[in-house]
This record gives sequence, C-alpha cells and structure tokens, in this order.
Amino acid sequence: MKLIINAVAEEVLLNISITTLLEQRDIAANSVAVVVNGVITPRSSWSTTICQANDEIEIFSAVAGG
Amino acid sequence: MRTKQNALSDRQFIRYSKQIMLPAYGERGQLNLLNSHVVIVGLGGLGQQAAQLLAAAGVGQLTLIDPDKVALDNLPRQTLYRDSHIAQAKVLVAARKLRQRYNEVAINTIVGAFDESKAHCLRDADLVLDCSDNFACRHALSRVTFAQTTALLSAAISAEQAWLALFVAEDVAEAGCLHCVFPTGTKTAQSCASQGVMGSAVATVASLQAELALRHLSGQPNHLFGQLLHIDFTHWRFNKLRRSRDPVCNNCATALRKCS
Ligand SMILES: [Zn+2]
Repeated sequence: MKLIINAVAEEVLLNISITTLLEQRDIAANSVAVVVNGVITPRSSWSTTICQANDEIEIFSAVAGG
Repeated sequence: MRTKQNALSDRQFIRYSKQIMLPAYGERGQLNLLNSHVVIVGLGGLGQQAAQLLAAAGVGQLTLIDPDKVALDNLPRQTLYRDSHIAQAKVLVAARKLRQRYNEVAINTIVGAFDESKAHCLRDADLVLDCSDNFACRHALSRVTFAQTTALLSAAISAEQAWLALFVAEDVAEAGCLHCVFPTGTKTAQSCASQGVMGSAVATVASLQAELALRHLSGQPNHLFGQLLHIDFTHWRFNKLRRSRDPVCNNCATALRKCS
C-alpha cells in the first residue's frame, strides 16, 4: 500500500506498525517524533498504531538545542 | 514580589504607544506585560534573543537561569554578547546589558543549571520560557511547571529543525505535556550535521517564542492551543501539528489519574 512519508510517496507492506516502519528505516525510536495525518502520536502507541493506505506520516528529529 | 502597577505613566504611554495601538494589546495588555514575571531558562541563542524582546516590550520582571559562560563560537548567534564577554557567565552579562538598556525591568540572575532543586524559582512566574539545550533540563521544567500549573513555553532548534509549543493547564489536560511529545529517554542525534545552526534561524525561532509569550502575558487566547509548531528550515516548511495526550505519560497521566 502507499504511504506519504515526509512528503514522499512510498510503497510499504500492509498492516505495518509505526514501530516496524521506523525499524525498517534504521531510525532509533527514542530520537524522533511521529506525526500521522497532522497529529503527533505518543511513542507508547507506536507498536499498536497500524498505518492505513495514503496516511501522511511525518518523522522529525527530537531536537533540544537552544 | 513587586507591587502591581494599575495605570501607565505618561512616559510609559508614549514609550509603548505602538504596542498599545494594537487592538489585541491596548492599555490593559501593556499593563499586564508591565506586571508580568517571566523566567527564562537558558541564555544561549534562543534565550538571549527572547530576553531582549521581552524586556524591550515592557515585561516587568525577568529571572535568568543558565550555568554557561560566553564562548567564541556563540557570538554569531548570541548577539547580546561580544568578544570581551568571553568566559563570563551568560546570565550576568545578559542582566548587565539588559539593565543598561531597560532600567525599569527588574532582573534576577541564577548562575546554574535548572533542576528540581530550583523549582521554587518558578513559583511566582507568569510564564517560563524553556530555551535550554538538553532534554534533562526540558523534562525537569515540564515536571515542575505541570506540578505547579505554571505556563511553559518551550522552543528548540538544532541544525535545520525547530519546534515551539505552549503548555498551559487547560491545553495540557486536553493535548498533553512536553513528555507526551518527547518522553523520558528521548535522545538527540549527535552527528556534526545535527550540531550546526544559523544565527538567523535561531533568531527566527526566538522571535516566534517571544511573540507568543507577549500575547500570552497580555491576556490573549493561545494561538497554538493543543498544537506544536514544527519548522523545517531545509524546505522552509512551517507546520502546526496537533498534540495528543499519552495515556501512560509518566508526567501528566499519573497526576491526572490521581485527580479523577
Ligand atoms: Zn504528558
């Protein structure tokens, strides 16, 4: 199925969770925030959040600099 | 605590007239600014810029907290400091410069890192600006302000990424706290590319932080209610994202459960 990930269309497996999506991209889960269709999704729910076709996913780095 | 002012002096009326002319501010809004106390945690790129804007706009009292000393590689973006300030404590230099320019602003200084032992420093604050440079400090601020129901306006920038969010009691009850976005254990990337930053980008974020702070202090509605502004300077994307409460948040969820 198709997802829009950081504004780029990509093909992914059906029923993929956010956790698996991050693992496949070698992204450390504790270093990012994930936005699904404009809503920041709490990290505690990533393993049970299943992406739906055409979802817009934004993955952004956890930055703390001042 | 300073005595509250209940009318503007003639000189204040002229000094702040351009702000008072704005319907969203007016005399009442300006008085609110003059009677406000803001604690700024972190006097690096964001904090030193926001401090100048708040003092210039008439915020009556500032408390500045930071453990660091001015360094040579700070100077391109921390424009309150100059070469002769290198190795001096940032909060002491900043306080001196701000007092010279804005002698009506009361400025308190604390040289040291913010942690829970300094919780009392936030007690009579109308707003806390989180301009720190690490998650340990940001999480401590999130815990203390949540426990004391003090408004927290956090901003962060590294390289080309930045974010900004205002956590006030009603908004946290609905959309969660800082921990709900970045839970305990969150790590920042440590590569070279993620450590660089442009002074103009830092000043942009600091100005947005000050802009929102002044609206909040003057008594205006929160334009970021339940949201977080994410900025990607690489693609010049500015997105308001909705926040959501983490039902198992180790900061706000336990306390909310206790209440209900
Ligand atoms: Zn929370």
